[in-house]
Formats: sequence, structure tokens, C-alpha cells
Amino acid sequence: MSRLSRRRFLGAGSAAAAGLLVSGCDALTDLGSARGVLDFGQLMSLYGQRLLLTGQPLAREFTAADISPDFPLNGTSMPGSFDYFRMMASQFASFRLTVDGLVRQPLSLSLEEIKALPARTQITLHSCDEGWSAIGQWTGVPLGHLLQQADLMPNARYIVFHCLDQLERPPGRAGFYYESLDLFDAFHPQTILAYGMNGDALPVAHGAPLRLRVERQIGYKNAKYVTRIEAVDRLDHLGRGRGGFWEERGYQWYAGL
Amino acid sequence: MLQKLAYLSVIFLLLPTMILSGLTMSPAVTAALPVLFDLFGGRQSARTVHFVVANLLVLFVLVHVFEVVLAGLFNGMRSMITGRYVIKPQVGS
Repeated sequence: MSRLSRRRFLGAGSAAAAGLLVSGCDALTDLGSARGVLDFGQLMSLYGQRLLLTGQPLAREFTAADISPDFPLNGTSMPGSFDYFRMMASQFASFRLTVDGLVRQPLSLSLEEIKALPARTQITLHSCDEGWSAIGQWTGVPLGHLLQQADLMPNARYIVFHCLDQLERPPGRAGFYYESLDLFDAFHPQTILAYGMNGDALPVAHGAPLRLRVERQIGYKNAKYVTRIEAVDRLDHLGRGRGGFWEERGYQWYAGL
Repeated sequence: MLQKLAYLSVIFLLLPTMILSGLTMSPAVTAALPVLFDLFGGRQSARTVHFVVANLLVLFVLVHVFEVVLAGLFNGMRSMITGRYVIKPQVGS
């Protein structure tokens, strides 16, 4: 009797082991599970780099002589919507930036009102995920200042940037560019909403009237044509739930590299 | 002698250069350790250094495996695992 039960035990055990092996193969081929491994790697670099950045050091700033004469373009260089053309024709006089979501004081600001806020100018190195880098001078309002004016609620954890440009054109809002940051980078002094570049107004090709500069992350986090800033407690209910346009197409959400 | 120099330079020169030039590509790490920019002369030169050193490492692996095969692949692997290493008597001695 005891031999029988041991045999049964071994049989059941090997069946279970085979099942585990098969599900292991499934896990390898299943993109969702492979993504879990990649997400773990992303968390490691996020926590590792946050440890290095505990004191919130500034990214290196350069001198006017270092500014790249020809700053490359990437992503959209001209949003193709009628609304954008109309705004462009009015020198962005009709543009408004909305700050809403988990805030006690939602804001709606014109470009003139934004330019009247405290400004920061910085000459920094932009690093693209394509492998090039360029130095530019950016002038804008620190994002932290806007968020303080909007008075974040205690459960706000991420800041989402909704943009005017579409890189793909499926129905609905799925093709519009968007990005997100957590509060650690959102309140960094060099994280600004820029309306000026190299001493002039921000060119359309570089995101006029307003673009994000987040100097300790890779290029695609620096969303152009920002029109709405939303404070949220989680990212998984937005779009396809990955926190950004390129993130939904395989890029990592944390881009400190 | 040449072989020892090759291994020394891989361990103490190429691999550390690889790690440091890789970190220089990170805007977050260079914000914490801006000295990396001075070490490599900027992010773009760090990319070039990283690329060249990666190719040197691949070259090293190819030569290393080639030498292992020349020295007797089966005999060498067996001696590492079991300790048995066959020394062939030289012809004519």
C-alpha cells in the first residue's frame, strides 16, 4: 500500500513538474511574461539611479559657446491638425495650458500668463534614444512652480503631459503623444515647461508653444506641444496603460538609461 | 607573454572602460557623476569609445576560442572537469 502511494506520489509529482516546464515555455514565448523580466530590469535601474540622485543634483549646464548650431529634429515637426494651424496663425494667442486631475486648484493659462511666471534658463545636453546628442538653451517655467500653484492632492503620484501632436492616426486619442513623470523628476529644478529655445521663441519644429524639458532622462520623455498637464495616482488607466506613447510601443517608462 | 598582456588588458582596461563609457551615456548617472564627461570628453566620445571597445572584446573572444580549439578542445575540457589530462609522448624521443 505504501509502495503504491509512493508511486502515485511520484507520478503526480512528475506530472506537476512537466506542467511547470510547459508553462515555463509558455512564459518565455508569452510577451507579457517576458515583459515582466524587462520591467524588473527597469525597476533596478530606477531604484539604483534614484539612490545616486538622492541629493537631486543638477544635470551639467554648458555655456552659450557650446550650443549646437544645428539641433536635430525628432518625432513630430509640425502637428497636422486644423486646430493647431489656427493656433499657429494667431501666434499661439489662443493657446491655453490646462492643469487638472488630482489638484485642488485647476489652472488654465495663456502663453502670456505662463511667460509672466518665474522663469529658468538652462543650457543642457539633450540625449536622443537614436544615439545622438545636442546642446540647446531652454527658457521656461519650472514645472514644480505650476504644480505648487495647482496645489496637488496628497494622492497624486504621477504627472501626465498630453500633447497636440499625433504620430499615428488611429481613431480616438490613441495616436496622440503623451508622457508621464513621477513627482521626483517633476519637482526637479531643471524640469521646466519651455517656451524659448536658444534665446528665441520655441520653434514649431521643436514643440511650440510649450514643451517639456526633463534633463535627467532620454529624449522621448521631453514631450513637445504640451497642452494639458494632469495629476494622477496611477498610470494604468491611461491609454494602453504604459504611461506614454513610446512606452506603449516597447520603450521603458523610466528613461534615465 | 603576449597572451598574458591580452588577458590583463581585457580584465583591467577594456572591461572597466566598457562599464564607465556605458554609464556616461546615462543622463541620470552623469547628473550624479559629471566627472564621467571629463573622463571621456563628452557623451558622444563615450559612445565611440564604447563601440570600439565592444568590438575589441568580440575580437578577444574569437581569438580566445580559436586558441582553445588549437590547444585541444576535448582534452582541455576534460582536464578541467575530471582532472585527467593526456600528454602525448613526443615522436622520436
